[in-house]
Amino acid sequence: MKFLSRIGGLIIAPKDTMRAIVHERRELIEALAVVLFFSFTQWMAFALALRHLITYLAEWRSILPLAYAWPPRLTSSIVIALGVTVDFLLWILLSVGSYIAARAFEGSGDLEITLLVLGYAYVSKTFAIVPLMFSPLMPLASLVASLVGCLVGLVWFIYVSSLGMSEAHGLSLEKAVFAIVLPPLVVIGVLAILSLVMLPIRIFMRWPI
Amino acid sequence: MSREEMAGLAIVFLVLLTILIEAVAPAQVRMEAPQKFEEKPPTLKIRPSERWMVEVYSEEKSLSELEYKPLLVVMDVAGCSVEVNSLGEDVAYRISIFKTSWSKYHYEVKLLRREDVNVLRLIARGVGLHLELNPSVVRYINMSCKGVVLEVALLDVETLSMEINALGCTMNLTLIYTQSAKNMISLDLAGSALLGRIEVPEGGSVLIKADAFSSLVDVKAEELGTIHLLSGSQVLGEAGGLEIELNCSSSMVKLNIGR
Repeated sequence: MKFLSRIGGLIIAPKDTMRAIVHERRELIEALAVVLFFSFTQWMAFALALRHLITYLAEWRSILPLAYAWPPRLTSSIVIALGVTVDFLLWILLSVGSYIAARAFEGSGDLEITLLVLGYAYVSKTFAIVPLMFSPLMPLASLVASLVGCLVGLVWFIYVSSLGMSEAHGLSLEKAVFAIVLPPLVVIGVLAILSLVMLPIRIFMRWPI
Repeated sequence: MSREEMAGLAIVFLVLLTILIEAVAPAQVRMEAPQKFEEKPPTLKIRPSERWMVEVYSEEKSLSELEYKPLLVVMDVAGCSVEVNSLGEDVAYRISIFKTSWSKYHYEVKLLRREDVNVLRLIARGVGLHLELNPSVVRYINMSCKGVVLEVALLDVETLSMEINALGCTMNLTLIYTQSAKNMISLDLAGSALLGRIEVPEGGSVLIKADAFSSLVDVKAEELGTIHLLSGSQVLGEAGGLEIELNCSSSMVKLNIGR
């Protein structure tokens, strides 16, 4: 029940709950369970909603011969497996990135507590999952609602994990927000610069783009 | 139970409920699926109203007039509604042609008497054609159809081969064989829809060769299996009796072969 209260607390009382998680120094396996549970349910809900949307638009067999030849169950399984793997890797990479950023801001916490904080913050996926409940009735509207839920969840994720980082590393809330947001922004920036640099080189060398 | 615990329970419950509802609830199909259309092809019964359909030609030949010789029917029809039905008694065939009062029309009916067979040749444009054939004399039907609503219902057929070449047609085909002789049905369809039911006697062999391109071919043959094709070829059954050849391009076919 304590585990459930931490999940619920991250939605209704995030500050106190995050403080408790950090100071009680929960097992890392709990954070892993949260990541896997919310990631699996989100991607499963998404795959099912996608199937409802395609069925809504047209019958599988006639409009999408490829989908008919390739059973939807297999497609769904691939979507779920890929989604969970990506989420798991993102959790690890984001934790490492945030830990490095927190250290740069003179934070005092370790990597394990960062993994714990960011793992628990995956509870924010709830906002994206629940709207998909209506996908059998309104597949398109529920997917749009889920997309909005994703944005809300992202904001909540940043807020909750910043609270945790601030508590775990002894940083101010502003620095904690930067520690969370900076690593993905740096990666995106580097990729953007790389593609801009590579484009003229590829054109010059006549490599296939 | 604390507030946080209740919230946690609610979150887990809602998430699991979402998955359950999505997995169990049936999906909504809003767009009319071609299969649904295929199950009930829109057939236009000719002579819907005497006010609009005026009979312009009528002919009847008895079996004795045709000397009980086999009858071959060759039809070339376009922009017509065509009904081909079985006929009993001593009549070999009966033709009725109807025109509408608002469209141009053209028809030609010729009976060619050969030494051993009679050939009925029909050319029709923009008419309603009602042809009744006696299954005991008709041996071969060849139809070339363009933009035609065709309904063929030939019951108690002994020996009959058929060749239909259809472009943009809607067809309903019912053939009931009483003998398991060697017959050939060749259906060459482009942009057409066909709903068919063919029955052969118990023990009669059936061979189905289906060739489809961008089509939806659904053949169910009792005791033999099914063919479901979108593009490609498939063969089902064994030679020696009724042979069905399907060549479909951008067409929909639903064919049931029973015994």
